[in-house]
Amino acid sequence: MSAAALDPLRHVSGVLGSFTCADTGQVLAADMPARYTTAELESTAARLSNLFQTIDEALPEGRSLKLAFAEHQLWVRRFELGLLCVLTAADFDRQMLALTSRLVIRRLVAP
Amino acid sequence: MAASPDVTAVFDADAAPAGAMELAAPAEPAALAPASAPGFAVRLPRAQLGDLIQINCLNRIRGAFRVSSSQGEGHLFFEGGLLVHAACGEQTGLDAVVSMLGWRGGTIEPCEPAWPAQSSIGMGADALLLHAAQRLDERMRDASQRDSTTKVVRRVPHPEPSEPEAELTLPRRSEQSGIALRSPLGLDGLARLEVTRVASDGKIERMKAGASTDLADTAFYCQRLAALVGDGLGIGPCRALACEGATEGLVVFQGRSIIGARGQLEDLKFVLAKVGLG
Repeated sequence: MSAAALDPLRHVSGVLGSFTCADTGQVLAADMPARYTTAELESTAARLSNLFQTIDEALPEGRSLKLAFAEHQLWVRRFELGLLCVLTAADFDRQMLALTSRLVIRRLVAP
Repeated sequence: MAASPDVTAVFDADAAPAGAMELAAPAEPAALAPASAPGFAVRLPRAQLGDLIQINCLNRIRGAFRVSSSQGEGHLFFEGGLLVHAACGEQTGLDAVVSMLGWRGGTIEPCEPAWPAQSSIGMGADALLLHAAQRLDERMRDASQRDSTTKVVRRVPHPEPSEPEAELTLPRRSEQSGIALRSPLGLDGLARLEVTRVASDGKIERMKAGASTDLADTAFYCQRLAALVGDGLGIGPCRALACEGATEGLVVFQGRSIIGARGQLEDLKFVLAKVGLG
């Protein structure tokens, strides 16, 4: 899978990077800042998958996950192939990110 | 005792909703200003008692206020960003606050009663108003149950004790969640949420509104996992997380304790906004 599918997310104000991974934690494509290694992203992906599985027990069919940190947010959306993860600054264009992430997911699942 | 804050308030029993009032806010942080310091008297027709609590906690005011209405009189004591004590008739602590929040109008003014020897609350505005909203909801639910089962109510154990004794078994000073609620009387949705509070060691401290241990376990485990995610990405600890489904959602945020809330997305909107995930 090409990281080019993630390109539109780069143009959303406040987005710092994105990656997509399978439910197993395998990174399928990444467009993240260079300081993140594939191993780090896979570790993060595994934790996010685990997080979703945990939440499933309390909230079946949870579709999106948002994590707020001191100066960042991490948006995670479930889709057919796994997870789409977007790292943002504290301030970002939420509406544009929601729209763009749907567009990116359509591209990712397109044959 | 420190000088009383330069705040007076009047609330309108006829025009305003429950708890609405007019209050005069301090022109500067009142904890730093002596009672004789100049200041503006501001009438805020739609202000609520919850607003006064927030203002005083935010400004870390140390002082006491008398809340009077046709339904009774009570006192609120603030110190160091917390509402440390409340008294209303025979009630103290959160029960007293809840009673005052239910009044429909009256006056609020600074006063200088004897400072309480022990605190009965010790919560910041955010957690206080959240708990008060839950307690208010419980009272309304209990009242409706009593109305419909008058003949058997004496034989049925109270499902959720609200006596001060029960409250004393819980920690009092662990409520700094990082969110600020604007008004407890606009929190009907919040009152419907299942809410749990879990200590940092995993011990369940409180469950409200039908919350179950699965919610507590989920909240605790999710907070730990989210912290690992933050560590792994080098972006620090996770303040809050939210998961949304088609109609329901789950919010977990970290104060001194871990708070988990679950309910309809509509009811969660306020919490989501306040933790920056709206």
